[in-house]
Amino acid sequence: VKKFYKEKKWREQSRRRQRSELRRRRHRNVYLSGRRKAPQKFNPRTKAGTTPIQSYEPLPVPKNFSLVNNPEEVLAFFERMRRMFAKKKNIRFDLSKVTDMTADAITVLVSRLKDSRYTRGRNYLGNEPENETLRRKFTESGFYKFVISNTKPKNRDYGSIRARATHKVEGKTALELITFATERLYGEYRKRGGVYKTLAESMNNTRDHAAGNRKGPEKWWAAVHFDETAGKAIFTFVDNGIGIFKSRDLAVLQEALRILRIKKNTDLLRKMLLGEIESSTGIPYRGRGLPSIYDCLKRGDIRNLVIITNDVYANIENNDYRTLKNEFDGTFLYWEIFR
Amino acid sequence: MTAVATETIYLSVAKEFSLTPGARKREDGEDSGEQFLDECLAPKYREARKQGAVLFVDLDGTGGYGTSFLEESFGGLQRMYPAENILDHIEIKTEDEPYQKADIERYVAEANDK
Repeated sequence: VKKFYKEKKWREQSRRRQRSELRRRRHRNVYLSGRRKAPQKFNPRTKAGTTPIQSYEPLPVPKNFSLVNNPEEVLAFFERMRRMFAKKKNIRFDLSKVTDMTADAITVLVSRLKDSRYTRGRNYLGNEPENETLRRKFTESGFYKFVISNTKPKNRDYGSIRARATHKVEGKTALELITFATERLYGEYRKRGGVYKTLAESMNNTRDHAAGNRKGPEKWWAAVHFDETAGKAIFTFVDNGIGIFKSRDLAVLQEALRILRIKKNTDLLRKMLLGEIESSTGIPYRGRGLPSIYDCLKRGDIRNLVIITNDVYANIENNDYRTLKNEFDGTFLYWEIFR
Repeated sequence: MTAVATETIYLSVAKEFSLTPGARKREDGEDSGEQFLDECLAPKYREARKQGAVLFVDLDGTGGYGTSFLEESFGGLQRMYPAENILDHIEIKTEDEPYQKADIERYVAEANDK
C-alpha cells in the first residue's frame, strides 16, 4: 500500500480531491455568510430564543373612547390604568373594539402615558382600532410622536400635540396651534384672538394652581386636531395637576363656598365662570381667567366648551353640569372652532 | 394734518414688542405685560405726556392677548400714575378684537382698587 501512495498517479488524484474540497468549502462559506443573521444586541429582558420575561395584562379601552361624550366610562378606564400601573403591572391596551373616538381622549391618554407618576416606570403596548376610519384618526392624531412604535403614519397633518413642563405661559405655542388649525380650516393663517386668550388663560391656570404643594412645574399638554368631515378644529388642554377645586387657593374657595352657601363644586364652577366669586367675597382672587374664557364662548370665538376638573363635568354651552363619580385628577378643557 | 401727526405718538405692540404677548410678570414667561409696560408703554406714555401728545396704542397684528397681559400693562400704568386717568392721554386701536377696549377700560378703572 505504501508503494501505491508514493505513485505519481495517486498524488495527483489526492491533490485534485483537496482542491475540489477547498472550492466546495469556500463556496459554502460565501453562501452561509449571505444567510447569516446580524448579531443581536444584548437585551437584558430577553434570552435568546425565548419570549420577553415581562408579561402584559390586557386593558380594554372603552368602546366610546371620548372624554367629552362618555366621561364616566373613560375616567373609570383611566383610573383602572392608574391602579394597574401602581400594582407594577405592564399593560396591553386593547383598542380593537373601539367604535367611537375623539381626539380629547387621545391627548389625555398621551399625557398620562408620558407621566411617570402614572406609569411608575412600567411598560405598555397596544393595538389600533379595527375600524378603518378610527384607525386613521388614531394614527394621524400625533399619538405616535410620543410612543415608541413601528407604525409610522404617512400623514400626520390631522393632529398636533404639544407638551411643556414649565411654569411659563407660551404665546408662541398658542400661535403655533392656531396656525395649524386655521391653515387647515381656511387654507391660510387667520387670527383667532379668542382661542389665543383661552390657551393663554389655560396655561396661566396650570402655572398658578396645578402643582399645588408639589415641587417643580406641572406639565401641561395642548393639542389641536382637525376634523375634515365636520369642518372643525378641536382644541384640548390638559394638566394632570390637582385640579381647580383642590388648588392652593382651597381656603379661598372654601370661604367663597361658605359665603355663597354653595354646596356643590358644579355650582362653584358656574359662579367662577360668571366672575361672581370675587365680587361676592371681595377677595382679590386671580379669577379673571375663567370668566374671560366664558366670555370667549359667549362671543362665539370658541364653541362647545367643556371643562372637567376634579368631580365636575361641565358642557357650558349646553348648560350641562354634572358631578362625576370618577374624578379627573387635573384640569381638562376642550373647545372647537368651525370653518 | 401735520399738527395731528406731531401730537400723536404711535406704539404698535406687534411691530415694537411681540407678535405673541404672554402673561403678567416676567417670571411667567416671555413677552410679559410687565416687560411691555417697562420697555414700551411707560416710556412712550411719559414721552407723550411731556410733549402734550396722545399715545396711540395699536393692539392689532398680534396672535392675541391674555387678560393678565392687558391688566398688567394698562392697569400697571394706571397704578404708576394713580393721580391721573391714563386713558385721557391714550387712544387704543383694536379692530381685530373690539371688545378689548372695554376690557382695558375696566382694568384701568379697577387698577387702584387692589
